[in-house]
Amino acid sequence: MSLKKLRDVVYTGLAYLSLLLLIIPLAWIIFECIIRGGYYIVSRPLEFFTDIGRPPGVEGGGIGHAIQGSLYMLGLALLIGVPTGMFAGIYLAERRNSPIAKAARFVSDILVEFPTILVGIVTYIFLASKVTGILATGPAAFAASLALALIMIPIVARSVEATFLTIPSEIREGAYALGFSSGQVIFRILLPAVKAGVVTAVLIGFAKIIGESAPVIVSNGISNFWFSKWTEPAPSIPVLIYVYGLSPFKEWQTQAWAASLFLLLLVMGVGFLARRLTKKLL
Amino acid sequence: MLDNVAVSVRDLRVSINNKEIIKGISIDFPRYAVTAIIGPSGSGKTMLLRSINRLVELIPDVKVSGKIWVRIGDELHDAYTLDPSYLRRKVGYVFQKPNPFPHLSILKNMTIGPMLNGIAKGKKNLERLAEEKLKEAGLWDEVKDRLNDAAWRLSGGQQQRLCIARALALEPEIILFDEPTTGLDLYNTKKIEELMVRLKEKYTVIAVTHSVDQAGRIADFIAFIYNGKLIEFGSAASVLKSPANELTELFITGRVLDGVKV
Repeated sequence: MSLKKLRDVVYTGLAYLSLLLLIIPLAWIIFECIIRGGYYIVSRPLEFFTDIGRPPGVEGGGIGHAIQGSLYMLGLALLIGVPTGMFAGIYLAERRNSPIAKAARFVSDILVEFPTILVGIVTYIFLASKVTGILATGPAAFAASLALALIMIPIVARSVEATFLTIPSEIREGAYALGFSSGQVIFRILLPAVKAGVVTAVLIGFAKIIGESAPVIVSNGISNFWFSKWTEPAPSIPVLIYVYGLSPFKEWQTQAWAASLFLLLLVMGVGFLARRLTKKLL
Repeated sequence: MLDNVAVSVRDLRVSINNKEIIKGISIDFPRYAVTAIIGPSGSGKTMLLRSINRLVELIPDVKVSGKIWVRIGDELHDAYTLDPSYLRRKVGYVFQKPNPFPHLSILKNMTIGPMLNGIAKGKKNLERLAEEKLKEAGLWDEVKDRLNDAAWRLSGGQQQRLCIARALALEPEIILFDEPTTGLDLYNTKKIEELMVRLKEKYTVIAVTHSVDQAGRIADFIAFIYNGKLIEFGSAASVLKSPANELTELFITGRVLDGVKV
């Protein structure tokens, strides 16, 4: 075997090895979730998805309340985060050199790296703490939504910006040369041209916040009841996994595995959807 | 007054980041004629062209001084007091590199301009306008059966003719061409040159080219720009056959101009 061939074989082998190293932990986690929690979902699917949790030691129950709470919390976070992140990203790309854009870019770079738990704490202190909160007097669901939105915004903004910067300048100039206003150039030409990238940016941001537990716990607290008010703690799937998983009760632990499996499939679903959408829109 | 002038430029100065690119150019572009702007790379040809439809304003830190008058209908208007959107509709621009909107179909590339500018309303009218202008640009027969294909599927030369048709769809009075045949094969170059000559019946054509030969083939008038200044301007025959300026002669005979001070 020639040296060139040998090198080829070695590199190919290394590539496969690293692929394997990536797949093994993922497969292992999925496998573990299925073994420990899968049967619980299969044995009582309706109850699992729609019912509320049971006290320790009592058979049965589900994570319906956590799904509901997560829907509310993520819903509000998306409502705030998606438009803000998107517009910020467009601004960063289209007004590249303005002082505001430079400052915003600096801030969002810091925010992206910011420990998410700190975002939760800050939100809590300013909005919902008993002493200094301006909108509530204790841990509240809306504070968690806001924290999640804040976590999401810089990610979406920077990805949208990157997407817009891939548009060749000839396209932008071509649009202006046809007499379009900046609004028309951005929203009728550039945004449609990169919609796949923008959707992907939003889904990346969503995937980041869907499984967050720390900022939710510090700003929203922990709840085992149905969602009731924005100014009170609400349940959510990641927090339920955290609480149930660390509890000493076997029933809760099983449901934590089942909820983990559900969350995992959800995140993978979002990722899959993002890829499908990207392909379709391109 | 100045009935046969389409664009009148007076003491135009353009600087970017305080570096002067156009150093005081005054020139009158004749109406319903092809004027070629020739000159070496970096002489300011494109910047002059982009000053006319104010595309130059997209460049950060750009400063423009002087006056540009543009004929719209029977009147000359100060380009820099007009609404830039209106100006750019009336003064079309064709880029060096074909730039159809890649996410839109051939037909949509044609209709989006008139639609967003409110020139034509309704699917029928927009499609009729698209057909008329594609015919005018000599592209209709090649694309009539594939109007809903993505524009980027067309060949480079077809894309460029689509861009010309797209500019025509806004019913401009003046069309600016920035080296529109760069990178195209001989067949497409010939087609576009013929088109530019044909267009002067209805429009005023101003074309930047670095090719003296091309200027000779298409132009009625030639302006030679060097180092941000207008060196010579006259009928194509006189500029090419008996240039008045030594620099012009050097350039059109293909000799090096580097380092020559003006």
